[in-house]
Amino acid sequence: MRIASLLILAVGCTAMEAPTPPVQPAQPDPHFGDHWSQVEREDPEQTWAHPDQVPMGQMPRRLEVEHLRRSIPLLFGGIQWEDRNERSMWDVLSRTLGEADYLEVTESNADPSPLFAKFMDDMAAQVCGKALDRDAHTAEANERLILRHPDVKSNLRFLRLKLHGIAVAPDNNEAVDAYYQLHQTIQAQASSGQAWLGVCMAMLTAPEFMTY
Amino acid sequence: MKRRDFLKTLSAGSLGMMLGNGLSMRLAHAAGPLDPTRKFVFVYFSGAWDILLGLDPRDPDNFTEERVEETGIQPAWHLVESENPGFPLGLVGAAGTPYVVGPAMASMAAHFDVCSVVRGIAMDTVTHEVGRRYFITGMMPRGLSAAGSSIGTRVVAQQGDRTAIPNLVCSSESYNEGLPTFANALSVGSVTDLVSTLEDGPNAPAVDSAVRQALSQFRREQNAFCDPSQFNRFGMLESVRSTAVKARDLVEGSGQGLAMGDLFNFRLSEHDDLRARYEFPRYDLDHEGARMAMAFQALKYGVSQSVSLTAASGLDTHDDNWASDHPDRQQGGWNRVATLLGDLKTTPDPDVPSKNLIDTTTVVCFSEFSRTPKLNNRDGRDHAIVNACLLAGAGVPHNKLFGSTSEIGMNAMPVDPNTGQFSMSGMTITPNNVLASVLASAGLDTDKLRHDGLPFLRV
Repeated sequence: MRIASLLILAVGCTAMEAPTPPVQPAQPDPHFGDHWSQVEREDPEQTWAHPDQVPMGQMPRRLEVEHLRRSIPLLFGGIQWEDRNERSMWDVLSRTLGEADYLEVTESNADPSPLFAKFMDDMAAQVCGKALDRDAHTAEANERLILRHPDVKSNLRFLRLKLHGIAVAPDNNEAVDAYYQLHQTIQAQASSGQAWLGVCMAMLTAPEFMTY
Repeated sequence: MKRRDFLKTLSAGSLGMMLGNGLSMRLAHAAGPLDPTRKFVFVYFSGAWDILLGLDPRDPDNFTEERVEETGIQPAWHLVESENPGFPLGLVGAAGTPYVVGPAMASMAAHFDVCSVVRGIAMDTVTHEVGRRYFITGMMPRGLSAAGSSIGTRVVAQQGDRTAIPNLVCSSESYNEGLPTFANALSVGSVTDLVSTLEDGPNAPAVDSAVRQALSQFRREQNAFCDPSQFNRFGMLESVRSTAVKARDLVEGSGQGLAMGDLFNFRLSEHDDLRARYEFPRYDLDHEGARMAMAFQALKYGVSQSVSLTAASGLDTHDDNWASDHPDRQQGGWNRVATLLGDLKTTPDPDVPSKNLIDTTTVVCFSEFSRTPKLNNRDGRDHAIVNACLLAGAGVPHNKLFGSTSEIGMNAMPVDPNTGQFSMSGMTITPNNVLASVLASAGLDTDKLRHDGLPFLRV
């Protein structure tokens, strides 16, 4: 018994004298890697992934009204989608947008219907317009909601991260090219302000924003 | 081979005789050729209607107060008379029509020639959501949740989306379980919201046309950044994109040369006549009358293939508001149905100009269940499991009565599936087989409803 106790003590002392180095926490991924991360294909030549290769639990869902009601003011410095009487349009259109009232409708509708898309277009037009107006009167670039960088592609990368949760590396043009083309097209026909309005509306109504 | 096909083969073969009447009935009512131009209107009376005032009345001279304990049926018109003076009481019939209806349906007498009444429908529920969803989908819900797709969604899924808003729903419910997304309803809470959907403003700021044009082009092109094979596994990516494009198409589209939003903007003076006929105020597009006018416009201008709407609300009258409120509210709903039927009779179908809309449109009027035939101790009526419905227009028999309820307690009575008349050894009518009949009448597949429809509802 005495020998066993000594052995246990010896082991304990050894452990105290040579502790294992603490595990370093992994560096957080700079972006959300759920739906947008690439699938490791068994056959790299295959242009599509077999459903079995896609991780389960990643079924995309459309944002619900409550998600949007809370997230839009957070993204746009408190700016709300409102009617002329400053009533929240989320509340005015609650039933039409498929929100459950738990009296007559007990399940929220999350279909990506044309009706939902139309009102999201309205929402984007109003919210982006208000944000650009505010930016026009904000001297400090870091406090602007949309126009953070003077360089168009840099600003598009900023918006992709802000609105889509996608970190686009400085050397990756592919991820912003489509929005760059949109920006350039509108700018050529209208103005820089209208170009950013179009880009903001496109991003707010894109599947990357509307789904999770 | 699908189970249904297998069973059909069996019934057609030598074993058919052994399998009995039920299975051969399935064979007898297999869907005919698809009618791509058939239209549908599903009219919901919200809150559970009193069929004694409507589709299944009893003569108060026979079912007197003195006999209530014996019959369990209490028309109680005297209460309506005292609480709702001026409400026209009386059974309503028409020459050559095999049925009479209650006083709330007086305006329908002019249209019995295109209607049939189905009585004695067993709902198997007295829960509002369950009954409503049963009659919307034709399938008994799972708990409170709808099972399967709405009938309107099934119609569009099979006919294809050949109109601008193929499945239009106003102040009602719609479901899509496993059908293509183009069949999804455009579901609005009111006509006001429909107009907002179809036009820019007043709460959508005007956007420069250059922005609109570039945005539309951008949305039509596929954005190649995200991995479609992964994200689009469930079709969500395409849905979000295609609906954004369609939403703009609706705003910029037109119906027979008129802007889509203007067709339903009943505040405009060109709709004075519609407002007068459907009896709603100029600036109240949330009114039930505006919904019915919306249905008519959607059919008249070829905007929709299926329209679902709530024509009357507030029918859930458990207290003495049964006598004061229910008759007027139910009557209002029927008045709107009557106006719609009158309009369908005189308006050519935009798809088939040689026919009027009544010849190409099926109208189904329903409620989630009915109200107890005997008053409760608060002079109201509670929930009753029996029900009735009205079918009108294309693909359904005209001027006929099917099914019945008992003279004691108003219970659903079994019917002969071939005649629809009472038969002790017959079957009980359910929303499932009524709606299967409606689908089958347009050559639409009824597999999911597991019923081929009722032979007596064949035209």
